[in-house]
Amino acid sequence: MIELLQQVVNGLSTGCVYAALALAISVIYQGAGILNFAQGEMATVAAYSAWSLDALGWPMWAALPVVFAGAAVLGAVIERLLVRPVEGASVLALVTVSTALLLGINGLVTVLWGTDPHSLAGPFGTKALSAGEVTVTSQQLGGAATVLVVMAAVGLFFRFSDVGLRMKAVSQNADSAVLLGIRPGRMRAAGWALAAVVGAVAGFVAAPATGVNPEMMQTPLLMAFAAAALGGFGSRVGAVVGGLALGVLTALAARYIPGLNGDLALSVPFGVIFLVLLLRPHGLFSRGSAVRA
Amino acid sequence: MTTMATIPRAKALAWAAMAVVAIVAPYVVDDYQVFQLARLTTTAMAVASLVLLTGWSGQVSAGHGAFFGVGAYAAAILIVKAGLPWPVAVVLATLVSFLAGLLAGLPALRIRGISLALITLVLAVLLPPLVVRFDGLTGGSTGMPLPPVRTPAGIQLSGAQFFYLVTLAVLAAVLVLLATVCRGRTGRSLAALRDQPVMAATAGVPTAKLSLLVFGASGAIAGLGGALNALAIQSVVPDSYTFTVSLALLTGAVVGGIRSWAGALIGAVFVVYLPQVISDSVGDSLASHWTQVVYAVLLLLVLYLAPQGLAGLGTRLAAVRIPGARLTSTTPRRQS
Repeated sequence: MIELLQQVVNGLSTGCVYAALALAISVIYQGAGILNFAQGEMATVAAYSAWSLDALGWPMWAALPVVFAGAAVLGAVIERLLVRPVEGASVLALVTVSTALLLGINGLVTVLWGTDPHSLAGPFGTKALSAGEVTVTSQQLGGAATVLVVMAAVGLFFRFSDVGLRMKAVSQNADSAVLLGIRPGRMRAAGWALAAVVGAVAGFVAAPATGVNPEMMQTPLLMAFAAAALGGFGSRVGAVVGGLALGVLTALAARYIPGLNGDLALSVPFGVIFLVLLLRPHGLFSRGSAVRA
Repeated sequence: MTTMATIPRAKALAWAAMAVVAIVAPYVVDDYQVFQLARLTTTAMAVASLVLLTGWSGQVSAGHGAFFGVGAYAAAILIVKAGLPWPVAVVLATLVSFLAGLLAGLPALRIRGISLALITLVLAVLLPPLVVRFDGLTGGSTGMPLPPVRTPAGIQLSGAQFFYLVTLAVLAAVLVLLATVCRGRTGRSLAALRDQPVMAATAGVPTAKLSLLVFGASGAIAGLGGALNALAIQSVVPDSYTFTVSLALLTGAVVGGIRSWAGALIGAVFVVYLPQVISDSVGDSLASHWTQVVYAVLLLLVLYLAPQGLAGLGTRLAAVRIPGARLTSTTPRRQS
């Protein structure tokens, strides 16, 4: 029982990373109907930037704002320059841009920073705390708290802030939004910037556990896609719940189903994506759309 | 009418010239180059299968390397473990890939578009760890060697030359079959499925059956290419079938021309030779990463400047050059 509980706690801790990345994916999907295959790579860029600044002797509190601001700019620039031209184009065009971003950023990260893995200490230390017989590290707790704060902030942003409401208006009906004086282009760029920051948080929280290397976000990305599929690509709450659920599910499957550990843990998100999209294509948390001929 | 026939005639001439070059080439260049050509022909089958699936039926696959790998491993296992002669193994591997295609096509009945691309991408990511997991059958992460294909007695050709000509013949057969099928009623049904799925259904196109079948057929052709490719390079290792291979295949198809059979050949040239060229110019250690960057740039350039790919660009240039010639139905309609 204790071990089960420990696995659940570990699962929730990794699930936080998946949830943040899934949230980023869902924010971009709502904006322009594009699944950003490069969300993980953008987070990797953020993690590497944090590592570089750390190596230059910057203190963490000074480095992080720079990294997050840089992520926001990168997100907005990618949207403005590369994604804008295919807005509203065919699915193939969207997939092509997404694929190009994945290949390009992944390649550039390695060209710039090399393939050697680095380690980045988290700001929360590595003290082990125990409640009963369940152990949690301060990094796990701090990481989870960071992610939860970011999610709450994103939720409040979309619920109460002016820009957040405008972004929602654009995602629901871009044409009407234009009539209200909203510029959809700017809102979509803002969406990419926001998603890039949320993704950067995911990379930053994941880095102490995964290390900083070009493949660090590959598994989290697939988990995040599975999470977003589970919750429905258009649902932010769904993405977060899906991420946490997948974290727990994967931890339990790796522990209790023989042969499902290591790389094969990936079959869990695959199974989830496959089943959800087959049985309930619009996910658990959002409503499907009717098609008219 | 004479001017309108110019472009088809120019096209026919180009195909004929290409066929002559392809048949003469193995007698002119050395065996290593012939080996590279066999990689080219087999990769072209995989790219062509993507042209069928994505270009014609509009179902985007970002994971076609998985079928390429399934075909390769099926053939390797049948040859090495079951001791079957290679032609039988290749036929069976094609069948296995057909079934894998059908299975992967199941979600296409419920979802289309970018979520489908996602499923196929995950499939491709999953193949290498699966292969390593079942190492008793597949040789694990070190893979397994395949015996070289021997030239049948009485034919005066080296093994490489003979096998290249085999793959060339298979590729020609595949392309003729695909072009013929897509030209007729099936092609029109596929186009309807791609552009207006709901309208296609109301017009009596069996959309579910067609989606599934085209996935199966595409998987089979990619698997056939993979099986022959494994025989050409005489080994199978999981590292040859990572998801970047799938993205390379998609890049090849888009850059060549997603709705063009000639584009499949052009795309395969990129997939096979570009890493080589880049490795020669920047050295081995970073070659694969620079290749990715170049793929990305090419993809974006083609997407923005020549959405029909290099093959489409060629046709357009030819139309400009030949006065009075008109394009016939090669302009793709874009989905809104």
